[in-house]
Amino acid sequence: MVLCFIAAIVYAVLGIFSAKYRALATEAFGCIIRTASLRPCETDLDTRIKAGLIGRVGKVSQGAAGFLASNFKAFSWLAVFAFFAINLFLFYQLAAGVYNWYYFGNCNGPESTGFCPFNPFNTGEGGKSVISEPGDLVVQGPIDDAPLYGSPSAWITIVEFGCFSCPYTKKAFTTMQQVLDDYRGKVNVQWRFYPLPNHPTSNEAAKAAACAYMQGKFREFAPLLFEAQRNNTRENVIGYAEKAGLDKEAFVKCFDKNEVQKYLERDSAAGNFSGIYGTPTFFIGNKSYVGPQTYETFKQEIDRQLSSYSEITAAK
Amino acid sequence: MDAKKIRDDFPILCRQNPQAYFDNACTTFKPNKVIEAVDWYNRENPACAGRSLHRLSAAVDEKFARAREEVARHINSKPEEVVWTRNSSEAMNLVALAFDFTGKNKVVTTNLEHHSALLPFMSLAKKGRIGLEFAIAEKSDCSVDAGLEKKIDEKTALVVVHHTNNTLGTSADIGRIAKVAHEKGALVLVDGAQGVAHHKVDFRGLGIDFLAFSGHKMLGPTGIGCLVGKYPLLEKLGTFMLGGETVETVGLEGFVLKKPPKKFEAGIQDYAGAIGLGAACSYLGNIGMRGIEEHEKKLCRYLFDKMKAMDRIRIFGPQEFAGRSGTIIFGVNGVKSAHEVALMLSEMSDVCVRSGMFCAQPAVEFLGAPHGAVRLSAYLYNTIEDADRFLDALQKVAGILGK
Repeated sequence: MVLCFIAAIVYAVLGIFSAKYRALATEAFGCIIRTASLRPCETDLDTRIKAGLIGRVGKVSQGAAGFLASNFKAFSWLAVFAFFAINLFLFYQLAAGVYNWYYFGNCNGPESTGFCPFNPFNTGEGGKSVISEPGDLVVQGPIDDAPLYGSPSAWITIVEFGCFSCPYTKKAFTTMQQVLDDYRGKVNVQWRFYPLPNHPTSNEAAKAAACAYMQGKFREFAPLLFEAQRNNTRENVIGYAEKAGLDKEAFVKCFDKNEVQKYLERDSAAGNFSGIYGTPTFFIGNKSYVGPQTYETFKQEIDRQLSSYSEITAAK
Repeated sequence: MDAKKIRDDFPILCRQNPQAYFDNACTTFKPNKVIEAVDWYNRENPACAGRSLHRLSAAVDEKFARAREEVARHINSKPEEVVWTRNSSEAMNLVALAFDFTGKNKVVTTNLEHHSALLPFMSLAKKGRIGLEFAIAEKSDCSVDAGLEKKIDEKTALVVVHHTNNTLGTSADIGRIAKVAHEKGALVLVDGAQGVAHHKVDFRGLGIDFLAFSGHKMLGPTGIGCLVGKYPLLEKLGTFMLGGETVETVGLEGFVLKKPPKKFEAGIQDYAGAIGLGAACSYLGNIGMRGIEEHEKKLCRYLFDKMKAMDRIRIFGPQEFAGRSGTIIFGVNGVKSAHEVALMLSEMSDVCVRSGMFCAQPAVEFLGAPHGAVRLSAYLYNTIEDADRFLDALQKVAGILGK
């Protein structure tokens, strides 16, 4: 009888896919109802389950089957408790996922870099998204000596902390291009260097990009670094510099100097100060987002901020 | 009869590690001859018999008629006495519903019958169309002959009795019962579902009036069975299902029925099934029913003796093997559920047996198994190795459940 509890749930789930299990689920539920109303179970489902289990064990060891047979009731209760404990745990996990998704926009929560399989409203994609409270973790931009795409006089600046060896930053780079195209004159993007030490050649790539920026060629150079991802060795980036039409001699000089490293460390320190724990991290006004967000995510926030600017302008 | 050689004719027994199949009272495996016969119809000649005039139809017509002849030869009747039905249940129902109970309406049967023999007549009794009386089997040897004889009198219209009991494997003395019944002016309907499959049944020799049996219990396909009846009685018997092929002419003012057996065979028939059953009869005939009967008895006597020696096994019914044939029903002492035993035999050793009431609840309860029993039923392809495998598995199951 005890096993009918498990059988009812398992067969009900399997019954979604097969009519055979629907009949078994009905049988199991019937058994539960009769048991609950203190009547003997009419079905022999529990007997069949018991015999099937003991028979399978008996194939391997008669002794074990005998032990299982004589203690079957205890094992059944144990199985029921284990089943419900596992399900409660899974339910807790599910509830936590929904909570995280609702409050943080990602089912994995603020500290995770994992993929979120359930994302009906495209609030995050691939990485994680954290919408911070106002004033928390916020980097205000733009600053003067960092790469800036788009119009310098744009109303909104998206500050992006990224790593050229990071696949998520690479993905976000394309999204940023689309944002800049669609909000020309209204939005610009400021790049801040945050080379992740665990990504191979990330520091070389960051130094090369900084040197390209100093020659005013950051935007032309960045796609080459993203393309190579974790293969941005000194030799390779010097090759890209030639390809992108940079002054090779000045580039090499810059690349090998200590100053450029200090320049990068300034950005990393700013990122660390702001609590960054993954790339890319975006700051838009007083909100931060971690992970390669979808275009819609940026659009929602940009439109929201633009409309409040319009309201302020109209009020003035 | 060489069971090991016979196994080569059955594709399912030529697989690696075939089951030890002891559920033959439920249904049987099919030999190549039957499979090929059914396949011939479906693959090469899927046409109607007796209606259309084209070549395909003529070929089916011929095979269909030949199948009827094969069946008639198998049970020593005339082809025109063989009516195709879906199974023995339908054949029993046909007699129950088409029999003329005006004048005399008493039906006598036994408490050991299969539901297919009981229910059609219990239903008629409930409607008040017949008076139904039961002969209760002897406790000692489960024989029904004497009980039936006592119940049969001048008011009896029909005696309904098994040839071989599906629960116990014991056989009624049909010849004697028929003689007594005829002396009192009653007719005899024999449920031959187990009898025709496992014994040499001589329809004419036994002097019975109607005989019902199924194809699938005797190596034939499922969905085909027969009612065999003495021709004058079939002519007198009413119909319970009408349709195409049952009539000579139809006008809005009325219709003229065909002669038996056609008047009972409404609609398109199961040609593949009938041809398959013909092939099964021919196959069994070539091996010889006497040899098959002897083989089953020998095997079951071996099983019976070994099982009787097992501590925890209880055999239901007569405690001597004499009078039994290829079926044994039993239980494991201390184990309430027969299904538990059957399932474990299957899970642990791939031994197939039946458990429950075997569609004969009054009989199983009479035998002292109110929660059902386990039934082992052998056939021509079972070997001594199968028997030993079953015994070994049963010993293990009894050991496990007894701990």
